[in-house]
Amino acid sequence: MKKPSIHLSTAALQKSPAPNTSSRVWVSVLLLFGFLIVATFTAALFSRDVDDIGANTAIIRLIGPIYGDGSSGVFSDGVVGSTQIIELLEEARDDDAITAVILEINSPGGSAVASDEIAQAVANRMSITASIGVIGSYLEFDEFIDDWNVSYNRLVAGDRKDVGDPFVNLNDVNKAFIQTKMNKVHRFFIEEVAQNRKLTIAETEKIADGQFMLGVEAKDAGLVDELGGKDESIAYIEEKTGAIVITTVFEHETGLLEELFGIFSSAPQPSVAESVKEQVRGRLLERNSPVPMLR
Amino acid sequence: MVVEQASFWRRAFAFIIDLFILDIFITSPFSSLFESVVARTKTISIFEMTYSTKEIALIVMLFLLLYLYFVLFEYVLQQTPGMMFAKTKLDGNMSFWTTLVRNSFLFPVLPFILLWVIEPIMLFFKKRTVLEYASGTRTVYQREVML
Repeated sequence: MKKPSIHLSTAALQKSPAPNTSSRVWVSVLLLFGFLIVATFTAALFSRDVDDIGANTAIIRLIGPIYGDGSSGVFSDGVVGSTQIIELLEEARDDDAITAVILEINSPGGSAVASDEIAQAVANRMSITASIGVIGSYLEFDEFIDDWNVSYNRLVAGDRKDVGDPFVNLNDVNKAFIQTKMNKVHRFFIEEVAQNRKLTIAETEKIADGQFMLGVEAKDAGLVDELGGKDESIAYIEEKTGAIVITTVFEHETGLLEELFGIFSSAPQPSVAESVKEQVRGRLLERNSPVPMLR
Repeated sequence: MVVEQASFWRRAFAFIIDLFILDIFITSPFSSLFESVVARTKTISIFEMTYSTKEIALIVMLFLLLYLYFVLFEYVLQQTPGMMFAKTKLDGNMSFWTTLVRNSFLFPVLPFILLWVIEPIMLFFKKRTVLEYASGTRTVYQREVML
């Protein structure tokens, strides 16, 4: 028969005067609430990134015109930096948990953006979807500043360095020069669209006159695969991957300094006319000339 | 007062009580953070799914808190709240080091994870776990008897 292991006292029980039951309860309650506070605090810290936890699909938002790289290097109001988009795409690619990327695009265009393979293009049937063209129009103010008795001191090394400057008259030669460049960009654009949408160059050229299309027209033209929105994109990913889509928004994270300087970068963008007025005002001030009221 | 080695069932009871308390005081604040992991278990096994760095950090943090719960209670009071309910207590030369050792079964990594299988078996047959042998401690049940 097994011998029961019974003894009447132990070292631990005799080591120190054992706290009585009441003290034990109070110590327990204190410890438990200590744990509750620590756990809540820790969870709160993690909840700042709660959207990232378990996400398998990245959402990258492109809202506004796309430019190569903003002066501040951040997403300013309504402007998207292509460098940041590429960084976000690379971040999504390097994240093992991310299996798909949804690009939410609400942009009139802008500079060309290097893109990874876009598997499925989904557009709302009423959205303005395609406009394959290049625009370089701008206001010219050379006569305007003449009217205000302002002169443009042309200091360039390289005859075409200031081509496109709003204060310089664009002659026919330079106009043709810019047009040639734009035609080349247009050609690259057409080739890029044809390659990514698996269309022929001829097919793409037909729709590459800069016209905008509604989503439904873009689908007919082969520029989008499906009509719909985010829900349709998610359904497509779930069908392809066989996994439930959990999304997380990938966005440029600003550091403290950037956040502070962002106050300036996120200020409303001045209109072209405002910019010109500022430049004229600045130039007049540099010359110690009287500054007219520019409204 | 009679002190004897606590039985398997008494210790299991204490552990279940502790799990309830842990659920309320430690894991509940984290529950919303694990919703996405739970959602993924509908399509893939918890052992097969890949975890992001943040998820791993979260899991490590949670296990650390669970570990501290047992370590601190056992070090300060020589018993956890569950053990109070089950009227069990630790016996032996208790130090912070020994409490760290005897609760190392909570680490969700090899080789400690093997203890999740070994320890209940040891408890059932020997009334003492491997880590109790290693730390020189034991869990006892104290009851008052009329002599």
